[in-house]
Amino acid sequence: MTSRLTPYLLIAPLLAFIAVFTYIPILTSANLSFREWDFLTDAKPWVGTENYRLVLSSSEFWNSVKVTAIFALISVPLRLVLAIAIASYLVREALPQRLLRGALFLPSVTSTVAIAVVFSWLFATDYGVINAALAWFGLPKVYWLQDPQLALWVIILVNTWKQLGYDIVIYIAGLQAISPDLYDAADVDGGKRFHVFRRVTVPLVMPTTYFLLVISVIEAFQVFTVVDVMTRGGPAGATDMVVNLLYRIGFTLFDIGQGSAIAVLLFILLIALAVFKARVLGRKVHYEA
Amino acid sequence: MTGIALTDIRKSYSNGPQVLHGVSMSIQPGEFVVIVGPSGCGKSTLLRMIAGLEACTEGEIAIGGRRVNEVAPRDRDIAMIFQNYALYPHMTVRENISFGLELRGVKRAERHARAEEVARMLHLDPYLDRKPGALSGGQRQRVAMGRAMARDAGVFLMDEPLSNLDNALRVEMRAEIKALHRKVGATLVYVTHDQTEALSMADRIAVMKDGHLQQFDTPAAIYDRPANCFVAGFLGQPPMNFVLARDMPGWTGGKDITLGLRPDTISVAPSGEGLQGRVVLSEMTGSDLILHCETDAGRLVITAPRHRLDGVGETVSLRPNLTRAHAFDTATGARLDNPLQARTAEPALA
Amino acid sequence: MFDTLKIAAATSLLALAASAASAETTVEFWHSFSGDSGEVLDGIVAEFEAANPGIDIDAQHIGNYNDIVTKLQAAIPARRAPDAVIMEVTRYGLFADRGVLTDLTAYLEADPLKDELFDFAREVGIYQGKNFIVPFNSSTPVLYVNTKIFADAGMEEIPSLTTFDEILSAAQTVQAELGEAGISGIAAPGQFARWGLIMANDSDLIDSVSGEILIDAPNTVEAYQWMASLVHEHGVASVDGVTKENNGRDAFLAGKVGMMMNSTGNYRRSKTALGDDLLVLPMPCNKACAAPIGGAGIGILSTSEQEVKDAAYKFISFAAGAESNAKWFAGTGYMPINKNTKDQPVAAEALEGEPGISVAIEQLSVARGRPRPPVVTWMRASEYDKWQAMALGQRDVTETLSDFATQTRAEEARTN
Repeated sequence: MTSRLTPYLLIAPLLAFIAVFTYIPILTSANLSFREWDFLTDAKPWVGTENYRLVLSSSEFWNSVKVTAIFALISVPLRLVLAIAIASYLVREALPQRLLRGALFLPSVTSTVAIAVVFSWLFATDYGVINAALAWFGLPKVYWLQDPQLALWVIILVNTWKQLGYDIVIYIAGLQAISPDLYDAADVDGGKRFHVFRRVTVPLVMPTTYFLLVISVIEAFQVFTVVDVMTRGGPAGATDMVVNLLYRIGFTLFDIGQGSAIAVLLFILLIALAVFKARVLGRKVHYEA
Repeated sequence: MTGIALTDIRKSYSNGPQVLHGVSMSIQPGEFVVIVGPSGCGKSTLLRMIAGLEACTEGEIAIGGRRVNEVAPRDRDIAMIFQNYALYPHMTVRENISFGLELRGVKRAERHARAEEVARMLHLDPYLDRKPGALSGGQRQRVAMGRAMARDAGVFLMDEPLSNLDNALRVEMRAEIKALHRKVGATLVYVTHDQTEALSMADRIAVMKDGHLQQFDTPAAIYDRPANCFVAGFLGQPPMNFVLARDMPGWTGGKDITLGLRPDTISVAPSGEGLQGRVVLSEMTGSDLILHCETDAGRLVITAPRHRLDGVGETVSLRPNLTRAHAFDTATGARLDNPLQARTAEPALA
Repeated sequence: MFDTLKIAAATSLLALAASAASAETTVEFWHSFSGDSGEVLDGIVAEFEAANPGIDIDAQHIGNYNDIVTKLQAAIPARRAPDAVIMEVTRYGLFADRGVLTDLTAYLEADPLKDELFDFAREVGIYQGKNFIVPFNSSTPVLYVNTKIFADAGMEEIPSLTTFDEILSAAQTVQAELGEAGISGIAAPGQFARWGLIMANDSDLIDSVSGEILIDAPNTVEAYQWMASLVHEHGVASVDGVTKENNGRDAFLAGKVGMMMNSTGNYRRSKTALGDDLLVLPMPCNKACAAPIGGAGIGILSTSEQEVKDAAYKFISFAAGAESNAKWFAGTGYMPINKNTKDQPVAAEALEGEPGISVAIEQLSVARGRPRPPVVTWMRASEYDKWQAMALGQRDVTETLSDFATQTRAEEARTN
């Protein structure tokens, strides 16, 4: 009897932790998405699918889905490509590489708010260093955060800068797991560097790539802080991500029901994306290196 | 056909020790050369330098009469087989075998045809569409050989290719490699720490120790006329016994001489004249016994036919055939002429 | 062994004594003041505690007004709300409406403070006939001018800056003369100043008496058109202040902007930054002379124990008293809310030495409270995006405001 219980007892603490901080909030949020509530009153009347109807028929929501999807479609591949390229250079165990690794990882452990504040000053149109530098070269000033097209690129850039160090470190670990003999063999067999990279390195770091793909897509759909600090979703909704809309509706407009409905829809979307990725890519990932 | 000439090769790492101290070797076109030595002797480094995977600190490497020190590995006309085979786990056998051709820009149809041809030679044709993970150790080894063969290179380099196989397979593969060498006819440089492989496969053996080439000669010459104590002790199984000549009854030669006695040159009898010894360990190899005996001259290992002796604890009488002994300078380990051998002029037999 | 026991016993007795001493009433108070103003507030709290040994004010800096609202939202359902809280004057209505705030009418009726408060100060705390907050920091927007920039632009004599045209023309002069040097004419108005400019054009966003939504009223539209034109049409205000309102203020403080319209709460730091180059003028009177009253008051949460409420009110009354208010006024530049404040030596001294500070006080004659029904919270949170779109020239002003008015009316119907 005791031995049958042991495994359950062993996982109980972790399960309790995940339940309290993950499952219960998910369920609570799902419940609230069918109610009307403003945080302040005790009553939370049941309104059925009304919140979903409102969300799904609002242009703001679809705009935020579109903006977030564009953000993910650009920033995820950008991150992965840059990370594997930089990691391929930094994988060597020499001093400059070690220093650079440390330097590149720093943004990952720096407060996102601090990063976003600094970048919003760098990209300020009239008071920013970047435009000052452009002016020095005689170039016209650029409306980085006011131009709806550019603002999204600035957000992508800042977010990439912030996350890249983590991706690089994970890729370095993945690259180090590849046997150096494979490269020696390719070297002897006559490989051009890029050909070997494409045919040997890329397939063999697929487990790493797949892992990073899954988490960076989730991260991209949950991006919030950089946008909140730098543009608050503006100009004119050009950088309004799903989570920023969720926050605005839930926490500044006091509509927790609609906010929860957005959270639930985002959750479903992320699950769907994860399943899709597993179906399409998961099988092609070769785990034996 | 491609010969290899190594001239005074030296290798040292920055902030590290020197690993090769001036190795020179001339390998004939089509020759099968085995480089053998204990681990850390520099044999693998030497092979990687021939391949171009490591740079030469000093000296010259010439392949086919051309200096290649500055030539990239892919342009050295070599193919290499690695200890762990270095197969690409995400590619099929077909792709693995043809990958070298793919890297050289050979058309798809042509390289696949070549892969199939090589696979037939190696009896790998049923497995062409499998990935290495689904193959046995011996099959993987064959794929690695196939990859090298597909390339049609002038020189094959093999770095301990059999060390990951079990004994039976190793014996089988030894024969196969030897047969393949005859069929392909390329120059083959083979690195191993296993003296049996060296003796059984090589046209010539290069024995290395601590970054120095000890002796480079045919297996028979190395076995019969080892250049020094190290070579004498390294090749031959069980290894040669070394005793001080003055401890040998009946020795008439010089004083500071060490004698090397192969285990089969000491005869043993239950009793009688000669060196008295006590058996402390007895190993059976099949038809023979290997006896470890404590004697006044030190511990001696001998081979003896079975059924003649009872075994451990027994006292026996040992009679070394001193005319077949190898003589070495005790101080330097260098080979000396055996005075007794010169008088009787007995031919040395392997 | 015995010694250890004795020490342990003594320690626990001491701990008991300590907890007995702290068994006084503790009032958890959330506020939004940090830096210099935070220090002044800490001084007021310390004096109150010295005068009231039984009461402990646990003052916590939470962030800005929005942060307080957000944290309060999380704290209320979790039953971890504070006892007293600073609430912005247009946004407490929602909390009063939902029964989160205690009705302070009876307290105030019984308090001599009631007659000491200026009328405007009394008025801002009243929602639907009941008193829910007592003002602590009151402000109006004023027009700050950097006289050195004006002089550098050839305006040694500060021109009249009463109408929109006059302000635009001065800003254009600065921009034309000094734009090359990276100096702009005016800071893009923040939301508080925008509201002030709408009032100066004889309109409002929501009528504070009738509650009528005036977002699409002609004068409101005209005011927004003028404000937006400063940025995208005339280029006299930097776009940076549109996407981040504090950027405009920070640039003014850094001496890079000729004028800014902003709360009196920025007086102290502007004075520190610009010294004698700072000139404070009343807000413009384009079609009317009027300015909104801003700032915040302190309310008491209805969930607190009666005894704690009593203690909290004592503190509120103390903080609004002439003596505290004089220190607050002198230390921050927020307006006096108490009629007797100016008689306090510290306030009189500040008025003497700082003529700029009196501008705000003079403007009080035209100052008026703003509406505070629940929809105001929604409207204020939504206005930023509309303003951005208009100021950056991405959307037509009339159309934007017409949409916004429609949305606000729908939201009003939903929440009120």
